[in-house]
Amino acid sequence: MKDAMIDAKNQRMLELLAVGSTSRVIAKQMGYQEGTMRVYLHNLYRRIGVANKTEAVVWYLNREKSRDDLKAEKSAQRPTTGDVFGDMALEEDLFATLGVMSQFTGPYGRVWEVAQRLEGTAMDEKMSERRGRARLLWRALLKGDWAYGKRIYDADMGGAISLDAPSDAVLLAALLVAGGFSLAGDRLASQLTDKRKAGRGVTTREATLMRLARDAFQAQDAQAAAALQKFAGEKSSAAVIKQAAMVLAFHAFKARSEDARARQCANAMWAEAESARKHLEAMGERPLGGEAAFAAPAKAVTREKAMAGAR
Amino acid sequence: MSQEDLPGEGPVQALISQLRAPLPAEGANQVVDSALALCRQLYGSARSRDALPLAQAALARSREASDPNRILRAAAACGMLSADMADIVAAVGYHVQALRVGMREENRGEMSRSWNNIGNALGITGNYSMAARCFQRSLALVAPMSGPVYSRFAASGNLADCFFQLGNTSEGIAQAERALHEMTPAFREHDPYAAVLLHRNLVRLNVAAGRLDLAERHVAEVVAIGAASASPRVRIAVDITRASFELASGRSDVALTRLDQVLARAREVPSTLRDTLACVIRAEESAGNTARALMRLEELSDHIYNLAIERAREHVELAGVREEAGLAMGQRNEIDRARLVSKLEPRSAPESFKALQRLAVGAVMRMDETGWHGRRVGALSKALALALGTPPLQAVEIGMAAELHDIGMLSIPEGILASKRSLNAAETAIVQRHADAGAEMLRDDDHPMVFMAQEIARYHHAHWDGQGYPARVAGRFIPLGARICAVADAYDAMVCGIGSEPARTMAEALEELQRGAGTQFDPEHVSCFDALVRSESEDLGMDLQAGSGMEDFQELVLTLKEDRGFV
Repeated sequence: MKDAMIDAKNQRMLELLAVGSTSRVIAKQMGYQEGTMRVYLHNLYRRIGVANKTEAVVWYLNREKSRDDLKAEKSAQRPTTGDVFGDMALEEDLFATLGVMSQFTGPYGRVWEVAQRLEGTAMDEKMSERRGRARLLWRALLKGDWAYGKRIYDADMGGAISLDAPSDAVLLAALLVAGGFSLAGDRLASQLTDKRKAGRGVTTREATLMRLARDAFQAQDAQAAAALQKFAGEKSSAAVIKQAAMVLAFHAFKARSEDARARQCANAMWAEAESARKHLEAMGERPLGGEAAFAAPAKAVTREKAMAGAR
Repeated sequence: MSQEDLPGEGPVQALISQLRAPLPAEGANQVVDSALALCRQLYGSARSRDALPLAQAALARSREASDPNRILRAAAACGMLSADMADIVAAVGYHVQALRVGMREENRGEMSRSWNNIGNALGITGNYSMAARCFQRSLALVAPMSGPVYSRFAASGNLADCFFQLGNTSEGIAQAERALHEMTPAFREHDPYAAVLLHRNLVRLNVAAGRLDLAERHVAEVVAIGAASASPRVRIAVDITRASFELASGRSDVALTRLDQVLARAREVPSTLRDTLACVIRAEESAGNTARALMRLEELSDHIYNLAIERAREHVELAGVREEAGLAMGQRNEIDRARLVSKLEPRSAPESFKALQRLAVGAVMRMDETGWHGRRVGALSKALALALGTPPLQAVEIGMAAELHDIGMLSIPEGILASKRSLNAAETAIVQRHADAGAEMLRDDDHPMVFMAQEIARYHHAHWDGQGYPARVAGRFIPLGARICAVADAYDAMVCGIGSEPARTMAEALEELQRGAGTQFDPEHVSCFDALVRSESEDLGMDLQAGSGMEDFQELVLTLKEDRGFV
């Protein structure tokens, strides 16, 4: 995937070029010296195979256009199947399709929040920071926002995350691998597994998840994506790992245009979210919080019951 | 001061509301002082339940005024009263507060006094070795001071008692002599009860060492102090001391008559009844009246049982209703309505849950030095429930409820639990009552979480094949939470060596669980637990066969408790 070479920094440079900024303006905007910026720009030209600023802008505009075209084209090609959720997930992304239901999936979700309250644990600053970070990673994973993962990794958050929250670092590693940043992904994954040998870090299942994700995205192995899906179906203690595997399998199948199986994965995610919501409701929670707006409708009395009462 | 001179409920309430009302500084100090004095009197006549809210109000007041001296005294009072009401964890908490203030003020005497109080609280749970360490620390703090120091006197007296309980007579006598040396008439005046206890300890220690002549001298001292004091606690302690000396010198009939009289008086002051009954049992035993001894033993166990349940309820009540007691009808209705509303509200832990958790920690401290047995079982139960595929929030609730599974141990005489030998039939019967006692303590509240805790407390010793106690239930008729907790409880007890059996390695304990699968435990749960422990310990790179699995096991539990954002 050629787009993968364009990281967040290059993307920004291209955007600035496209609105006609000079290299001095770009440097100022991005916080570099002008000379440094020139070097960066030339590296970028070489990378995308153009000779100068103008060609770069043309390349960029073409690419932007083709992306939208591609999307329209694809959705035209793709037959509607009646699987509403699966169709929309393929067309948009999982995050948009799940909508607010994504709150019931992933780490530090709604269920975690309620459990925290049940246990009477007060939320401290550190915890809420950790939570916010993990939720953003999860969101990026659902969205397929690979650039976000790279940005986090480049800001040397990779090291910090793997230090104090190995489970979140696993998500980051998966995000990197899925986005094609194989070098960074592998480095982070091996960091995490090394720590495991020292007795603290990721669990066996998390290590398996990272391995399967690498196989599925890097080796472009047809079996690997299926293995990921199977792994998601296994009985596991942590629902989050299961869900992460499911999302990764969805992306892998989508990339390979195996739509039917991608749909399966998307629907499994929906089922996960729905069962968490039902569980919360069964425990007497209002799953999405807020006030109960209107009273529940009175229970309908079935005919049999009414008859029995009459007798 | 006799029982009649003390104020009833009314004046105490008045004083509490006075403490809460805004007052000018010097007036407030006076009120705090008189509140603390009143607490001391109420404590002396065994009315700690009334005194505790008063002491708490005094503590809050002196905190507001940030007056270190009064904070110290109020916190110490709160701690003593909590300890008297069997809430050991809260007691230690208050004493630690006092200790902190003492540290800030760099007042070694006060720090030493706090350590002494902490030791006293731990001693109540029968955890004498830990209590002894606290007393030693207390002594070390005042070691550089010369002259008679009150806390040196108190701590060495208490240390002597610990040594007596641990069976180290010679050390005990040495410590007690040191305390005696430290005692001045002023101390004796200030705290006659402590003086009596010191002499009582000397009597007991000397009797144990076979020095009856020395013991007799101390009996005379005890009688002299007792004559000067009017507190019912002191007088009962005096009579018990005399009786135990008479018993040792072979005059059991005299001892028995005396004890009969004491018993009648002790029934008026519940907190002394236990010591009295214990002494009566020894007397009857040595006089050869086994039947009567057994009868008294039954009374003792009933008494402790009921007292423990009553106290647990009181704590729940104190935690739930913080406002003035004696609610008007309107307020009652208000609370009932709030309860009803709370049924419709999202569920959360009831207010009394924290109090229950503290009580449960205090309860297991009798068997497990650290008091963490309950927490460990809670964490293991939660993990097992999740691994079994229980919905996450339900698993959380099971884990929290399982923390309270041994709360009924509060009702077991600590002597039985502290002993590491195997128990005889009568003692086993008493220990087995903890299941019912726990359920009884948790009975009142109809909050779903407390209800689950109650089920677990009642049935966590029920066996899969119906051979457990207290009730003969089998198979899936045993509530799920109780079945889960049974596996976790047994595993923790085996690995940590709770009870009479020695600690096993983690692998041995797993094998032992496997042996009980299908008879004692739900076979499905055992195999699931086995897989859980094996995979988790593999992740942590542990060796299940390792000789002492304790540390690894602790780490395993910590990993399970760790919050990784999952449920």
